Order: sequence, then structure tokens, then C-alpha cells
Amino acid sequence: MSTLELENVSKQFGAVSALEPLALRIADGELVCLLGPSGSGKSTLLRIIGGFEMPTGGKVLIDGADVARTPPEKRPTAMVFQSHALWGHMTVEGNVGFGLKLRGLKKPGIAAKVDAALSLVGLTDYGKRHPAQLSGGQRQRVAIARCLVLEPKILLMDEPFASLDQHLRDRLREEVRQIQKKLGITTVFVTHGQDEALSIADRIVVMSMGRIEQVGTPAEIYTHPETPFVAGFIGDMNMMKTTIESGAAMIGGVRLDAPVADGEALVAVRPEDVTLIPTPNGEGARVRRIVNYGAVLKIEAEAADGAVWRVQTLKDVPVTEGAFYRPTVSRHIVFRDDRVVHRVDPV
Amino acid sequence: MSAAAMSLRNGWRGLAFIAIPVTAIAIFLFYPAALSIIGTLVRPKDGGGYTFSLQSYVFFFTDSYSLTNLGRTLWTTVVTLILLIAVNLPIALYMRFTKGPLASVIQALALFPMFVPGIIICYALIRYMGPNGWLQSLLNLVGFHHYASPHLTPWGPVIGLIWDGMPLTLLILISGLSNISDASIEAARDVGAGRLRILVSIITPEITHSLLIVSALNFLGIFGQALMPFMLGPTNPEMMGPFMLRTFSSVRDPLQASTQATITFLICSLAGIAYVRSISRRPKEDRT
Repeated sequence: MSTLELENVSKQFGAVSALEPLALRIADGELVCLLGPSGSGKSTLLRIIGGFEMPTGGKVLIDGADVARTPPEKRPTAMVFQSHALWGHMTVEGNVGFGLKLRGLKKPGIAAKVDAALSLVGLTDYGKRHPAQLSGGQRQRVAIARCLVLEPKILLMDEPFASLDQHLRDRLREEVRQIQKKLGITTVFVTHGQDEALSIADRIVVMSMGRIEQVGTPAEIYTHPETPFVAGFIGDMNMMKTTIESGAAMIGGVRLDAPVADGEALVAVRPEDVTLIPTPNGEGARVRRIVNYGAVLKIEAEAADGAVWRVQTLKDVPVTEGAFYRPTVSRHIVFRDDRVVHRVDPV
Repeated sequence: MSAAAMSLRNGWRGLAFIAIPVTAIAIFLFYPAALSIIGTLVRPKDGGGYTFSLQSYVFFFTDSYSLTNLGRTLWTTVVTLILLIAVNLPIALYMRFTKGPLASVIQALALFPMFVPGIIICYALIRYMGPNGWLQSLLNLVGFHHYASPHLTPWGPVIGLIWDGMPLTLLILISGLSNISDASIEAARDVGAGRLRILVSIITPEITHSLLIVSALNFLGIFGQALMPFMLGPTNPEMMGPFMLRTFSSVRDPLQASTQATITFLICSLAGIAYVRSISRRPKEDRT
């Protein structure tokens, strides 16, 4: 089991900077998700760790040894690709055992390790099949087994479930998490799906424009975003521009504490941190839309000043379209100059 | 209109659509070919009527000159095929895995012969590599005076056929290589494979289909060639193309020319069968 450290790693493609110099330390046995939109540099960073791209600068340390200039075939890493990347002319056993064959293992040794790897991913009886005879989920399991059988120090996963349907993705994600915990293998997982990152990661690295925006546990990232980008990118968020006067901001009929200097600011409020209280005589915000998501309702309520509150409540809370409610906010964050200047958490 | 009636109508439309080309092929290709083949087997008797005879085939397979010509044709075909793949595979690999202006220039150069008529290629090669041609003059300039021209040797047609066959070979190989994803190459590197191992264990098996098609199509084209061997090759022994031509027009022996053509056709049809089998055995998605 191993640690991974990135020191001032950067990447330039000609005049374009794909990665600004960044640093990251991933502990032994940790599963870290690189999360960000397209073009954020997460896949480039993963490919640098795997050796498929050379960094323009910086060090990639695995257990203290710099592998930044080492080709992929000589690195103690293994990558699961988004497109499975199985070799169609080989059977499942052939795909999984290919790396072992290259390492000079004898046939009985290869067979035993291949069987164990296939058993780990639940494909014991599929060894003689070819990839074309497998479903998408089964192919991705084979790709995972092909990596695990080599017992790499670092497992890299590049949006491995992107091509699968939601149900299968959820199931495989859970299975991968269980296998990763069981083996205790240090894993870097790239995804652009926030749900995927929040549900699987020990820590999330949120990236944007080739920079790390924030590193933290899923709970920290969700409840305590440190930049407006993270606040807006992870989950739903009411992001409202406002002017702070005398230590408070008035937004959509709600007074929010903001004990900072007067001036422009950005206030972020999660929809589930807004509660709607019925009011008589048309006061407060008017509910203009309710969408039922089964377990929860997602509501849009328009205040008298035109501000629109996005609210999330449990399905049992009685809310009526067209009726008026007073929004109350239990948690909010105030950003200025892309930094948190004030935060209010529920007591 | 019922679904069955519509289906029947569409079926007739389809048949009508292909009727003209199929009829043309039958009248201008299959019919004369069948006549010719039957003509080598069914011969008129002296006293009238016809009799089945393999005499012309017996002659061919007992005549040392005919057999030497067949051997030379096979030699030229196999050597040209091997060299075509040996020359084009590295170019195709370079073009598949390299991006940039140099790859585009190489692609343009490699595909250039496609736009040059065969007779022009022949004369250009004679002027270039023939005795006292440009190549010999250039070599003389640098002090090399032992140049032996391949023109009118067995290597003459080989060089011309490689030139002629390059574009088709390259296009098919590039097409096959483009089906190999970058990720599958990277996955092989990831598990520890070096460049040679990737070529042998990943790329070559993945383009077997393309290699088969290249081999079959070039075999058909080379084996029956008349122009290149006629212009660039020796006259004794000679390839089947010029041999047939000479037997028909100079020796004026249409029976023996038809027999040579039938034997050539039968050998080429083996390559044709390999091609058809390769096409029909494309990998099927049998997802369970």
C-alpha cells in the first residue's frame, strides 16, 4: 500500500496551460475523487499520475520515489479507462492475464491469480468469453480485474462508469468501493459526477480551469465550500448577488447576517437550508413551481423583489402552488473576491 | 396496403434496382468466362460432335515452360505481397499514431501512385531504374559504378507492383489501425507492454482482418497482372499475364491461352474465397 504526492505538478500544451502548478498528497489506502467540469484538468492530472502525459514541471512521488519521467509500463500504477479498452482478440482470461504474462509468471501462477481477480469482480464463469460477448458492466469489471491482478500501488480510474446506465453505475460504484476498502488500495478516481464523488470518495479534489479549487471530505466540500465555484458546482445552490449594509444582507425578503464591511457580495444558500412558512395576506414569496422528485419536493418561490428561492423539502411538507410563504434560512455563506468572508451554520 | 404486400413490393423494387448491373455482369463476364472454361474441357471430335478432354491441362502441367511461368508468377506474387506489407505497415503505423504536417505529407506521397496510370508508372520506372537511367547516373556521380538495373529481371515487376499497390494497401491498413483505440494501446502500456510487444500482441491481432483483405486483394491484382510484368519483367520465364497474352496473340493458341486463364482464375479464386470469408467473418456483438 502506498502514498502519492504531487509537488508543483504543471502541464502546458503549447501556449495553453492545462494544469497550473499544484500540490496534493493522497494517503495510503485513500480513495480520492478528482471532480470538475470538462476542461478542468482532472483527466490530464490522472494521465500524468499514470505516465501517459509527462508533466511540464513538478514531481510525482509514489512512496517517495519520483516517477514523473517514468513511462507507464514501468510505473506501479494501473488505470481503468472510460472506454474499458479491452483487447477484443483475447478472452477475458487473456485480458486479465496479459500483464502477468509480461512479468514472466508461469501458466499455473497466472491462472490462479486470474481466477482470484475474476472472483473478486464476480466474473468467475466468464473467463473463456471474449469482450464482445459481455455487457458493458461486465466489460468494465474485466477492466478492473485486469488492473487489480497486477497488485498496483496506485489504482487510477478515469470516469470508469460514464458509459453505463444509472442503475448499473450505482451498483458498480458500490462494488468498487467495497473492493477498494477490502484491498486497501490507494485510488484516484476521476469523475464529473458530483453524486458519484460524494458517495464514493474519502476526499474530493474539486478542480476548475487547471487549478485545485478545494480539497476536503465530501461533507466539508458540500457544507463548507471555500469558493463560489465549488459552492455552485457541488449540489444545488441559491447563488445571489447582494449588497451588504450595516452587517446584513437583504435577499428575497430575508435578512441574512453578514458582519463584514459594506459592499457587494455573493450569498450562497442550499435549497434544503431554506424553510417555507405559510403567511396570510400575500406576504413573502409566492410559490410558482413545485417538482415532485419522490422523496423530496423541489420548489421555486418568487419574492416581492424578484429574487427566486430554490427550496427543497421532504415530500410530506404541505406546499401549494400560488400560495405565499416566508422563507427562513438556517445556513448561508457570504463570498467576496472569490473567498468566504462569513459563514452561518445551524446551531 | 397490407404489410406483407408492401414487403413484397419493396422486394421487387430491390430486385429491379440491381437487375441491370447483375444482367450486365452475367452477359459480359460470367457467360464468356463460362464459355471459355467449358471450351477448355469440351472439345470437338474429328468425326463431328464433342468430347470431354483434359488434354490442354495435361499439357500445361507437363510442360516445363508453363510450370516455370506459373512458379515465377507465384514467386512474384508472394514476394510483392510480403514487401508491400513490410513497406506499408510501418508507414500506416506512423500515420496512425503520429499527428502533424509530416504525417500528412507522407500520406500524400504514399497515396500519389493511385492517381498515376500504370503505363506511366512503367515508363517512369524504366527511365529511373533502367540501364543508363537517372538512378545509375546519380550513382555514377557519387562514384558507384557497379549498378545492376532490376529492369527486365524478376525484381522489375516486383518494384512496379509495389509502387502500384501501395495506395490500396496503405488505405486498408490505416482503416484497420484506426479501429484500434488509443485507450487499448495505453492499457497495454499500462500493464507493462513495450512497443514491440504492443505491435505483436495487440496491434497485429487486431488488424488481422485488414491484413487478410490486403493480402487477398493484392494477390488477385498481382497474380493476373499483365502490364507491369510485360513492361518491366523478363520474357523467360514470364508471369501468367504476358504468357497468356503471348499465347493468344503471338502463338495463336486460344485453347492453351484459355487453359492458362482458367488455371489463373482457379488460383485467384482461392484468394477470392479467403477475401469473402474474411468479410463475412466480421466480429459480431453477441452481448448477453
